[in-house]
Amino acid sequence: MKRFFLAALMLLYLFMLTGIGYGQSGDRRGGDLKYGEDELAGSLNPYDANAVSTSDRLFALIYEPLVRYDVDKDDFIYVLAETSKTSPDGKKLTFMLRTTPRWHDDKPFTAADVKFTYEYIRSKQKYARKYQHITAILEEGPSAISFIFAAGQSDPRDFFTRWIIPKHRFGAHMEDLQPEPLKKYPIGTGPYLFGNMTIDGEINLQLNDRYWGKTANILNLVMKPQPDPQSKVMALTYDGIQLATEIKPNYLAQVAQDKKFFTRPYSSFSFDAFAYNCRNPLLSEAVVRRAMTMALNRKSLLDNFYFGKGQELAGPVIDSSPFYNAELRPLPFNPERAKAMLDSAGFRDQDGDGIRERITDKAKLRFGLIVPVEKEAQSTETGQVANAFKEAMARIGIAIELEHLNRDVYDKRQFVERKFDIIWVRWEFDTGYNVRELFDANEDFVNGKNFIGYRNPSIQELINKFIHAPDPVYKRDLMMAFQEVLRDECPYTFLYSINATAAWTRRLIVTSIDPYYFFTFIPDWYFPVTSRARTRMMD
Amino acid sequence: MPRKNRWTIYHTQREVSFNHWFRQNGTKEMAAALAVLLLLLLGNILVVLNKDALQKKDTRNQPPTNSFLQWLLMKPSLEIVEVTQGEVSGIDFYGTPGASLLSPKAAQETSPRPRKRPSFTAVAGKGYSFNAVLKNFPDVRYALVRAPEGMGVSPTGQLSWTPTAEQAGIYKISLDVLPFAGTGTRLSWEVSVSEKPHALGTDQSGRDILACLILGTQWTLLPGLIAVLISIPLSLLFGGMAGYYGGMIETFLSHGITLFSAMPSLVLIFLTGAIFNFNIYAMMAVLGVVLFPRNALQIKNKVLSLKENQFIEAARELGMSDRRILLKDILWHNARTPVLSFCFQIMAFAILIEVTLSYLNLGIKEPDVSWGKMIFDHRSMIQEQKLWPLFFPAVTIFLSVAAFYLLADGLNKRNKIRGV
Amino acid sequence: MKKIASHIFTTVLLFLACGVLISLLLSLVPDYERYELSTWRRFLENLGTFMTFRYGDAVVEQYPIFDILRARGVKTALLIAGALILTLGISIPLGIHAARHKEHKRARFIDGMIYGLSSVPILVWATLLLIFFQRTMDVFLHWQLLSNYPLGWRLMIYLLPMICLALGDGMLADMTRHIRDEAVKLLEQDFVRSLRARNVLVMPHLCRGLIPTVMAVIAGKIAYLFGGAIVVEYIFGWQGLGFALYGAVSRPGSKDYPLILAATMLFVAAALLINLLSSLSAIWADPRLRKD
Repeated sequence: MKRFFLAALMLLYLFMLTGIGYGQSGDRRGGDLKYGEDELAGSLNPYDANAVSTSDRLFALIYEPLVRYDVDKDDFIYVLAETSKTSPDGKKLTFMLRTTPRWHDDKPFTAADVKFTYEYIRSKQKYARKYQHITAILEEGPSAISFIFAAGQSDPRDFFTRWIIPKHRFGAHMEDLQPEPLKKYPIGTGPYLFGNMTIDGEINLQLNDRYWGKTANILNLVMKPQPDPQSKVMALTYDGIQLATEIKPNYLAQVAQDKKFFTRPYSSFSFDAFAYNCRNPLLSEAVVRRAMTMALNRKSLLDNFYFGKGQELAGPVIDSSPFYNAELRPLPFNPERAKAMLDSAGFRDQDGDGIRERITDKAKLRFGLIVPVEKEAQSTETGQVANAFKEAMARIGIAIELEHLNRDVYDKRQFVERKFDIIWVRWEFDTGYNVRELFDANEDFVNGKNFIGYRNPSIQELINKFIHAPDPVYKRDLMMAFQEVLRDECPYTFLYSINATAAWTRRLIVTSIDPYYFFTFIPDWYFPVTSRARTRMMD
Repeated sequence: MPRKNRWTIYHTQREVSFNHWFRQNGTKEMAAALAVLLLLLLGNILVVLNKDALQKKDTRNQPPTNSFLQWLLMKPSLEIVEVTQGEVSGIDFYGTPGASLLSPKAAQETSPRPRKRPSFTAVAGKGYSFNAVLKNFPDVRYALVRAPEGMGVSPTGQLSWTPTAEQAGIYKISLDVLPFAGTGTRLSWEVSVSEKPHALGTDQSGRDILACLILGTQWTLLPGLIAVLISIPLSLLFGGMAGYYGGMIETFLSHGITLFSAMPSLVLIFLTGAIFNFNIYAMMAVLGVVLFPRNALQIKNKVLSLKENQFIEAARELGMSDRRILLKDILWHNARTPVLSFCFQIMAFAILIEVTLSYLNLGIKEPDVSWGKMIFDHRSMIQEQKLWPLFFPAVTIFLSVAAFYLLADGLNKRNKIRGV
Repeated sequence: MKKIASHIFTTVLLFLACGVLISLLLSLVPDYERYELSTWRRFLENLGTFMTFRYGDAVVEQYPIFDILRARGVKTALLIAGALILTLGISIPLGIHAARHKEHKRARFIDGMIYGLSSVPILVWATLLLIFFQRTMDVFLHWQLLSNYPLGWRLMIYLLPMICLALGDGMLADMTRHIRDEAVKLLEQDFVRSLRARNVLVMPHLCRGLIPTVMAVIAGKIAYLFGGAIVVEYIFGWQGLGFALYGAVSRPGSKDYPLILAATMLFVAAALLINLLSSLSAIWADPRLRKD
């Protein structure tokens, strides 16, 4: 009798063990996630003109690239490609593609799609220049493809992080196939299928059961545009959405304090700065720019207006980039030293009006500062930062006049007319994070990135060497030197890189967030069973 | 009957008529509204004289100094937490080994509670004091756990501090009140120190709220005047000519009036804003155009009713030109009475539109300040329950709009009583 | 009959004239992304779109414009209709009561209160009510949370914006005042005395006489109602036509011109229709106007 009970107990225990094991993997499947974004998604074709950051995150769910750059591992991860091989002279790159991925409409993924994608990209004006060095694309079988470059590249995989789009959704001349063009009905190979887009701009996505990789856990995703930050926070609080990809700094305090949410900051791949028009005769002198940088307490701007959520920067490279020079400190905040520098450079206030002028030609240090007005809460911080700049400059004897312009006028003044003295900028980068173009003399034209007209032979030399540098260590050294020169030259007063903060309900387990695409690791996210009963699908 | 001398009769008559006049319909309200209007004018003058001083910045987000206002407009930020007796250290707040000292439980009546809330503001140079007089425990010991430089607590519980000018900012204070037996209390609150006293607090950029209210008055009178200057001539033109001439001109002008009354007002203002980079004066000019139809209709009706009068016929017989009859006899002498009332209605509406536009971030922008912009900037403070930057502009908006409407309505009533 | 036909004809003409005006305004809006097109060219383009009704797709949302108008216009129409019903429901009884007892202190007090309530801008009402419900009853009455709440709160989500529209910006005050004035005039007339003598209810006849006034006030105020609808939709998150317009106009960069044109013309058409109805109701109520 006793042995029987012991055996039964052991059987029960084993049964329980298997039950637990079964529950742990299968039980994660389920749940619906509604998340909030700042703006509408617009076109869902990645290469259409008006892709915004909302759509970037959606593309990460629907489409996939050949390779992806992982910021933490500082290396390329193969996604749709299995391996790659570079020829010794660097002119030919061959990708071996996976055979298992299928498009969401069940057609197989082949090399023809990759070839079509890159030809489509080259046909678009926005990307034509960047990809013009690819001379030929050769399909070597259904799952191998080669790219031939005009000149040898050290690591050409950088160019292949673009989303792959299906060839069969386009006509013979690359036109959209009606009645379901890709921009409205996207087809990709990713972990989520596009369901539909309602007339309010909400997008429904469903789990892709036949995903070639690790199938995700969350069954349905809904993207809800929330242009008003206040209602986004309210929706989060009252379970209208379960995740917000970005919470503005002034609402962050109340969300972070609330025990119902997790918040996590992630770097935003952008930096804020004041850009100086180097064509202005007074601003073309590096000592003036350096004095203005040292007179501004950049750390206090970050603390006061952004609640400290960001990193102070010494140069244009942010700390999540592999080329970040961690040793480099920003110029110190020292208004006395700034005043002394201006004095010894020949800028004194001789007529007692509080504004310095150059001794030689009496040119006054009086500049206009252009600030863009954004639609929502962003405008208050930008305006306050500009006010603080004005006050800081007034203390060392430089007069600043503020001009607030609407976004379109601002863009026109900055890139087309290039008529400004100082302008507040926020540069946003993609994963390539190419900051060199901002200071490259070759980019100094209308609509070019070097809109300040900065020309410096030593910087130009560093840039030219970087493009042709053979090995990554040398590239790194070049970029270190690049940042040092920029810090001392101050073509911009580099301010900080603001962290974006995401918030989600405690009912959701989020393992990691990709700083640029956000949803790259979503197959690992899940709703624990106990919490799932409370999430509901939208009607 | 007692004999009244001349002076008495004169005095009495005067009194009666004054009382009568004052009790007349709507005069009391009109007097109040005029007072508000004078205040707005005063504000405008102050702004013109003194703009830079009004925009000075101090500590950000400081509450008002009056304790009643603090009770009304802030969430109670005095945190009361029970602490159990343990090691008597109390100075090292972080990482205390005797963690039982800090077991936060819901404060109950068995532990000491203060009688009053402390003030949440302090001014540099002036003393800040708080007497933690307790409700149920007379025999206690006080210990400052966390306090800024220079703050001390006496054995009787009198907390005193004189902040210096460099100490501007926000400080957290934690005061332990420990009876010799039983659970004690930890009172924690934040004090905001500013360089100068701010009666109504400061906003999120550090501007004094009273100064902001004064700065906001500049958008109440002038933009409304621009709307009036566009609207009144237009309505006189359209309404007067339509009423007087009749026939084709009347139909044409009436349809013009209907055309403009059918255009959605805010949409037109948005479009004009888009054209002129959201300059408030341009938008007010368009507001004038949007508002003229209603007044034009009223003027037209009035002119129509006056046209049949005999004195008009007489004037025509005398050979006066049509234009003179219209302008002088009809409009100036008779139909001008509702015009003042229109003016005030338009100005009230102008304030409302400015507030709406600023709330949608399409109106006044940095570095200018307006009441609507204050509400827009501080929308997030509603959740944090820091209501003072929202409450005061809302009150002033309401008062000025109500004042203009009261004036308009009072004038209407008096015109009706006089039979005009 | 001829009168009615002429009214309809003028309404159509006015609609066309409004279209020309709005197209002109739109072409004056500076467009930096298509700056190579002259203003005149853009004016003709807008005019062409308006005349031929070939609006196509909205620039941002990529949906055919008529679908957007239909889906969102329904919500805005619901909002405005509800607000009007509420306004009428409050102001007609109040106005008639005030007309009957116009010397009474209570009537003057109510009058003052209505003024006070209406002086508060719509957005303040909306924000206040939203916060009030959130604080006291822990519900956030935003449209997107509609599916999270039971039937009672859902009704409130529909009702609250209509209340705000009805209460703000002087709508209620104007309506009550006009109704009171008109009711005073009507009550002085002879037919009221004869009705009372025969012990017949005065109210239905009074209401019939008030219809032209009510329609005239609505026609006068409809333009402001549309403006108020924009604000209310913004605050309460109703995805209506007003909010679409606001988003289209305040968008940085190239604005969504077809959508702005279409939505504005829809509003204009609605306003003109109400004007037409008001003049028709005046003709119906007063047979003397039927003669040419």
